Amino acid sequence: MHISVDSVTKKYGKITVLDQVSIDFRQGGCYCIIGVNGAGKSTLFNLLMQYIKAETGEILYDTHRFQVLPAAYKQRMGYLSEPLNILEELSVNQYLDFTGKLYGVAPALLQDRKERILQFLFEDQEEIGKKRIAVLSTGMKKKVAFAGAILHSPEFLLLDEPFSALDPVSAKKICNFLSGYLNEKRTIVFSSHNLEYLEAINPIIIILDDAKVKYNAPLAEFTSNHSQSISQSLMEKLKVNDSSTVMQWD
Amino acid sequence: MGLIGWYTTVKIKAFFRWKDNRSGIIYAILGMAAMLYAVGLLYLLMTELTKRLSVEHFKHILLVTVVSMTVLRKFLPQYIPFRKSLLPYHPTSAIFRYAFNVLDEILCFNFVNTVLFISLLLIFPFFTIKDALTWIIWIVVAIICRRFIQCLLEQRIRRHDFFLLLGLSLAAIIGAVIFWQPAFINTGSWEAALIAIVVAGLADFMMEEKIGEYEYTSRQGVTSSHTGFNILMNAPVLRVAVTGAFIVKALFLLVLTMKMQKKGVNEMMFVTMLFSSPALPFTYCFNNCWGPLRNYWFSIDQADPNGTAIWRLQLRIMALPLAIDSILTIIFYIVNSKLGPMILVSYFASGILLCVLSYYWSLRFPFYVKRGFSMNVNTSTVASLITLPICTALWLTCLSPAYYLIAVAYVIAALVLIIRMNKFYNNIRISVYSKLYR
Repeated sequence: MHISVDSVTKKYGKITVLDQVSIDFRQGGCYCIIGVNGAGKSTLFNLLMQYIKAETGEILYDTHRFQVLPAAYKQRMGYLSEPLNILEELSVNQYLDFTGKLYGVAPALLQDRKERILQFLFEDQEEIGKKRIAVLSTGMKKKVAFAGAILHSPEFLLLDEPFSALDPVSAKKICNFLSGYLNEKRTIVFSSHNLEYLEAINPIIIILDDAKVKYNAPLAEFTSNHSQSISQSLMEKLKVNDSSTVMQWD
Repeated sequence: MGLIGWYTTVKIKAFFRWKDNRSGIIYAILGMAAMLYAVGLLYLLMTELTKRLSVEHFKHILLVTVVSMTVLRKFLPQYIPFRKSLLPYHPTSAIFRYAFNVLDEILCFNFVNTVLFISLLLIFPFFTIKDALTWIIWIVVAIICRRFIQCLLEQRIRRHDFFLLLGLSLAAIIGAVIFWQPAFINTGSWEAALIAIVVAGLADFMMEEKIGEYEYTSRQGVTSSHTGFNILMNAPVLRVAVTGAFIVKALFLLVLTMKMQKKGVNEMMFVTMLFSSPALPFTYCFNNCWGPLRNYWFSIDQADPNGTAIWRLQLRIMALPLAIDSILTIIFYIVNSKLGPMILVSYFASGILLCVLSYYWSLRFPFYVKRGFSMNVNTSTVASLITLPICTALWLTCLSPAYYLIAVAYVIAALVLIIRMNKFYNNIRISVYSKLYR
């Protein structure tokens, strides 16, 4: 699926969150949206999922303009929201069954995928499957929500902060999963503040700043100066003060 | 049908948001006016029956209503200023904490009952202070019974404690039965009743302590043994509330049947109508569309952004409560075969309309309710004001057969509404999202 965001402006009251933003999410691409808090990353995701409407501009899905995204398109998309909107009163197994059924995944395939993803993400998948989501830690909930988002193997995977609240091992696992998941038919768009995981996925970096797209190029170009780390490159692109400055506090 | 009491208490409670409004006196007057409307309308409609219906019967009907409201506390608004002011002085001793909790519930839990007491004392000379005191005792029994039902249904007690508490809960039920028979009171059996209440209170105290222990240990990780998927059964608060409501309904219908077998049909007609309405499942769904179900909507909308998917979800949730409710009502209707068709016709007409209205109001006025059954944020005032006359209009069917046309009009209105809602759902869903998640 190819999604094209064309000159989109979104305002909340008087605050402009996205101003004439244009991004092309091509089929087979992996995109990482980076930006400071409040840069409009989640707003962009909500616009892509049509939970909010843009003031101006349009979003084209496979060159089609939809007032309402048809169910056939929604079924091809997977979304991990932030904060997590999962069904905490269910057990992990129940939640994944529910999500799989919503997307029309065949029962045998659903069972197989469920077992595989739980085995991949958790140490004791059988025990985890029976637990109510409400009693899990935030990181575990994130992993369950991630499993729910990819269960139907969506062509267009939207992940809002997939690494937040995860331990380094789990984050690395998700990185590995995404690397393996990506192919010429699938598109991955994710936002992240954890820059150390980017190299494993090698995405196209899109920096949102001041409601505009400040940068849009592959990771290799982003860190063309090899002496710089990704975070140093980001600081440079965002033109922010050196964050290593120690503040004196009395 | 029986929504006069229900709606004046449950729906009009939008008026009683003390937290948001400092002009409490005005709201108290409005609250009293709402209750007067309910009681007055009930009295007015009963003019035909008052020739046969004695003052005692009238008192009993109201008492049953108050007790049922007490048992179904979770459906009703709470008045919490007392509770807030007591909190800083809360004793640490378990027994005192329990005593305070009970006192607190009696004082604060049911603003509607308080207004009803005052209204009755002011309006009806036959309602005396002695009656009010008797009602308070009834409410204490109802509180204890309600706690037992709630805790047992929530299965928050360990298995080995269950049997002990079951025995003690039987004592509570015996206490309630003693009070159920006025003859005991009249013949001076107060001592027996008081002992039963004390035993029940002790059991209630033990149960609270056991639950405290259980909740502390279960924080380490609760496992679920459910294998199937059912929205209603997986949301413990909803499950308990709706099951509790049906137990109460079944008990009242049983008592009504017994009384009707003894005394004939007509005398009990209005009470029958009160308890054979689909108000329970409807209110359950209406009040909680966006509580635990908020994320269900989100999940479904991600996969299928059509109104029909949400409508199917609501019907799926409503299916079990409505099926139980219908079965209860139909059994009641068959057993009491002398009842006219009005009850059944009104039941199904109002059931259909209320289901559609629950869908409509929940999308037009979505409120994010954090807790399963929070009554602080509920449905909108507009929704309450419109739904109240719609539901009370069905009472007219008992005055003349011509009013059966209302039932027909309701079914047509429900069909029109559901078609229009599905047509315009796509425009509504964005506003639903912005209200629930922003």
